[in-house]
Amino acid sequence: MSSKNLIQIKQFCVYHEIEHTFITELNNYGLVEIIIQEEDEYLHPEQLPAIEKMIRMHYDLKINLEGIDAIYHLLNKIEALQQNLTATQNKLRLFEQYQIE
Amino acid sequence: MDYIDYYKILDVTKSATEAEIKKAYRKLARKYHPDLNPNDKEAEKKFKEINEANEVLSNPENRKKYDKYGKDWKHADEFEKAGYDPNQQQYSQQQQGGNPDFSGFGGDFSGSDFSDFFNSMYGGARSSRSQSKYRGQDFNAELQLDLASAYTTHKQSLTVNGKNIRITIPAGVENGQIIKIPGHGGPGANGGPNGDLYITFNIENNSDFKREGNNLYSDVDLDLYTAVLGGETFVNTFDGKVKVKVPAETQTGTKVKLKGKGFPVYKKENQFGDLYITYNVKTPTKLSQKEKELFEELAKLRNHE
Repeated sequence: MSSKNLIQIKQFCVYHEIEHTFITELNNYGLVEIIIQEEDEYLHPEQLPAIEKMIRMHYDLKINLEGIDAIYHLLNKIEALQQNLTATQNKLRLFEQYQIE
Repeated sequence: MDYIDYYKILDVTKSATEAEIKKAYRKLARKYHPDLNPNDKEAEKKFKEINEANEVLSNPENRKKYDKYGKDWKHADEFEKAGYDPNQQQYSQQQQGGNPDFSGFGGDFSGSDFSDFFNSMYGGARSSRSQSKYRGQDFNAELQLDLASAYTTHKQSLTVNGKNIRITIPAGVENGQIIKIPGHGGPGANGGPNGDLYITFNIENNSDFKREGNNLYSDVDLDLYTAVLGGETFVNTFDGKVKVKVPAETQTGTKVKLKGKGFPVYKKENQFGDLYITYNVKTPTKLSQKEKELFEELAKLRNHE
């Protein structure tokens, strides 16, 4: 992928007023992927919603990186559970339709 | 519009110190922040309330005004006569230069909707650290579809934040499914990418078919003679009628799978689920004398076996 489509970490950090080390730490925890091109570091645009969420957790809610790591995994679990719940509700709706008839 | 007890919302006393308010706010924010409560409308509502309470109680000027006039908010005119500037110039300046720890939280949610009570007291002025984001805000929308529309890939025009967009809805979309339309959220700032649009589908089923995933289910009435002797019947599918062979001595409740006659598989062209039909054998009514005699004869034959 050309760097044209990537987000330069330096610029991203300046805009959000965060330290570069925060992104590096997220990378160390396996929470983001840093792409290196021509000795510069970039983020994939698709990662931005998750990273901005982590920025809010850390800088607004004062949650440390260990906490963010745990929350990230729990949120993934919640997402999977919500998908299951929707599928189960759809099945229940079908069952209830049968019951009414 | 009702009076709002901001102290009660943050669960602090009227004599709470700034540090206590900050602590209470942080604690509640961690509990109700939409980032930590995905798709939870109640938590989002609660978060807006605590954000608003914090906006008032964490700012000494706002708090002073609230403590003095909060319960008498209806007498706004008298407040103005008493020297309050309705534009709240002083308020906004103070927020900009204030302690960033005390500013409102941002996020992919509409946290800026303050109550009418707040707006009547403070003229709608407020601050937020994350008002302008690098990446544009994500938008969420709900779209109502009937099952017939979800059966075919089609285009639909939507108005999102005043802009018309035309999207393609792939056949086979599920009730409750969320699809992402990249780049159709809020605009990014400083060269940042636009946010995305998330559409949740609510699919209403007004058809005679029941749907579970890609499979469809329906009941098919069968006349007694075809059920007993076997033959053919026409069965409604989502795209027309098909002829189905009925074996002799078919019972009510017999299920038959019509392969590939179900719902389209999402984003898999020319792949369909199955249609399961359940036969419901209809007993003839209004029998003629002759028919009745013949049935009696059949009954005798059966009883003598």
